[in-house]
Amino acid sequence: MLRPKEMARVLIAGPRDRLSSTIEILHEMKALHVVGHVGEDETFGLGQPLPQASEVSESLVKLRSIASILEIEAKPTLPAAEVGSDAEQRILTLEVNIREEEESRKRIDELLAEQSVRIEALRPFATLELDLASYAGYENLSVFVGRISGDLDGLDEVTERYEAFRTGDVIALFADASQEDEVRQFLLGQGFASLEVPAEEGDPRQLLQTLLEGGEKWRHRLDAVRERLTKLRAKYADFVISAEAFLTVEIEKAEAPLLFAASDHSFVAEGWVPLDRWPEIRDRLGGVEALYVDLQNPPGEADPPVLLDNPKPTRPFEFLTKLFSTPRYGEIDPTLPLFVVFPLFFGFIIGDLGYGSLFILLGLVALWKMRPPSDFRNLMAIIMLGGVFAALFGTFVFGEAFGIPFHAAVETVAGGPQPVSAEGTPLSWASFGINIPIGALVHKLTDVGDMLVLSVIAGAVHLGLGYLIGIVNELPHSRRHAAAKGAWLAVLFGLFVILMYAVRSNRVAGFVWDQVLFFIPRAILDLSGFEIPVASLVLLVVGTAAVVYLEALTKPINIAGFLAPIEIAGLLANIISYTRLAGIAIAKAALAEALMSLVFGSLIFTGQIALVIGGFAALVVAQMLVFFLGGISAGIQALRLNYVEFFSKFYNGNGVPFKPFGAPTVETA
Amino acid sequence: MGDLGAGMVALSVALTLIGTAVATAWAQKVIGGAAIGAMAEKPELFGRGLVLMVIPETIILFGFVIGFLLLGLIPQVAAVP
Repeated sequence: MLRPKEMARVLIAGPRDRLSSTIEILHEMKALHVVGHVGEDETFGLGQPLPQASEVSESLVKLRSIASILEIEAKPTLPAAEVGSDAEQRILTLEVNIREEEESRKRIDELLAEQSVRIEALRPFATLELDLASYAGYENLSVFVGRISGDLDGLDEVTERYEAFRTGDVIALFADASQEDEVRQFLLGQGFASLEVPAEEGDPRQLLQTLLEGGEKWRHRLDAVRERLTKLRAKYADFVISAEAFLTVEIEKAEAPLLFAASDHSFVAEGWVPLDRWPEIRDRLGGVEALYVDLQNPPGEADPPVLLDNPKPTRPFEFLTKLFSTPRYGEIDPTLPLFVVFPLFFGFIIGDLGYGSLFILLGLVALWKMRPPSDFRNLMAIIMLGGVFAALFGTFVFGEAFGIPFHAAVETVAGGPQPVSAEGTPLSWASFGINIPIGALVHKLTDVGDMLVLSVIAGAVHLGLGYLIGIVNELPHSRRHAAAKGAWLAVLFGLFVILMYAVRSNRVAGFVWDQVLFFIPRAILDLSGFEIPVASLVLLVVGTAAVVYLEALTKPINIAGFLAPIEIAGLLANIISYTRLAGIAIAKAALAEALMSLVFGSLIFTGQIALVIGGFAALVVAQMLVFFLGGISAGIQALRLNYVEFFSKFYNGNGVPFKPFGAPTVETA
Repeated sequence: MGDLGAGMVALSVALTLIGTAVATAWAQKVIGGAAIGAMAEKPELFGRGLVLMVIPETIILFGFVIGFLLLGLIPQVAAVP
């Protein structure tokens, strides 16, 4: 449970003609993580794909082009069996049909595009009503055809020998060739832009008419082709999708030998199998004649793939583990600690019966509506568990629901809760006549010290757990490193004792110092006003010395190990970092308190109808704001404390995820 | 402690929070930009990117704790009769 599944290295060898039945069995079992064969020698080279590979991949390419022509995108619906062995024949027929339609569609598209260019070119000439032949073939005339924005009033001063035709801004001007330059100069001054005369003959109006009518005809044909394609899509979509899924699997099988070692007459496959599935795989493959299947000792540098192994309720948290990094084989899987700690931190930060219940509701809806495997579903399941703790904390520790305390804090703090009623009492559920017989153990806004101390205690315990896991992780590799983790644990404990003693005037810290840390000698060392329990000073000094001895005075000497005393400040920063639990909880509560006091005090409790209606609208917006802001920051901060502070004490990660041959590729959200 | 002294302490708290908040924001801006850039190339770097991104938050937490300890020096604020 705390470690990934144990893996066994399997060797499968057999004659070449057993290759395809072996692959069939392995694909069906989905239990072997194939390790690719590397390097070639005289006998064994890389395997060749099965003979059907090229045929299958050709069909697949055709099928994908069909799918893209028909614009089919969906999940497979038919079971692979129904696609059947005649798939290739059907794909070929379908391809011929569709290819034809697709080509006529393309041709018509091109034709229409070409026509629309011609139409655009002809349109201005059609308005001028001149035959296209009349624009060319003159010896003494210059022809200007184009669009003009100005007018021709001044042209008489440039030349008298011209004739102009104009409709709208389209102009055709015939002028004496000897004055071409002057006329052009004038025209340019009037914003003239020339048009090219189409290389066609006849009356432009007629030409345009014919083209437009022809276009209409082609468009009808295009619609007909499109309609036929739509029918084809409706008819074959299921087949295309399912056949694609089927062929993808087939090609995966056909290309599997590329990972195997092969000689002229035999093949060898190697891989990892979860140890508990080994008997199953041995029996199934043992049934194949002349096949050798056995466990073997993995090569020294082997890094087995990692298949996390957690009880079902904790499985959504594997998502958080993998989000950071897959654990290394043999390392402790941090999913279980995450399962315990993350919801606790999340719940402490939210600490509210109302919001906690909403998170539970959201999670239940996600679990009910969404199908696994889905990352988002996992996330909602995690949030749901956080919601449970939020509701518990909200009910029994903080006495609060929807940002409103069950009972107003007795102590009023400047800048704290403001009175909302005529009697001068701050907002609470009692203001609505709802009396919940549970008092708050800790008021978030007034007992800030308690909140901080609780956070620090949570941090020390969490970090301590991290060092303990670190010891377990290091023990098989190096006793020295494991001992160093133990020394760090001592330093952590020393720091914790100092902190608790320093703030013992706080009731929580005082309780810890008096009742929990009762075994710590009461001797106190006074360093000019700053008091330290002697025991913790001893822990710090001995712990640091041990770390330096264990990490630095190795052979060869490790310079970085000498930095351990500086690292103590880092560890202190780690502990202080947990005060974010209190910080965000207080900030969220303060925001909710302020918004609620405003909404009820200034709007709803006034009794004026307009203000009351506005008040309820503001209430919804404010509640949503607090809920979502709170949820996001609580989730991220609780996660961060695990990733940064906790994981850095023991976690390596960078493991290879277990991907068995034949497993479908999971789509991620 | 006189009113002036209390005011000075309150100002110190404000300055502490301003300074640490700006420092955190600036550091996160730089790291966040680089992390998103790296993630665009390799999405599996999300976990590490997030870790690097949130490290500077410790700065403002120091500010928060120091600010809280300073606030304790103002008797009028700690508990109103």
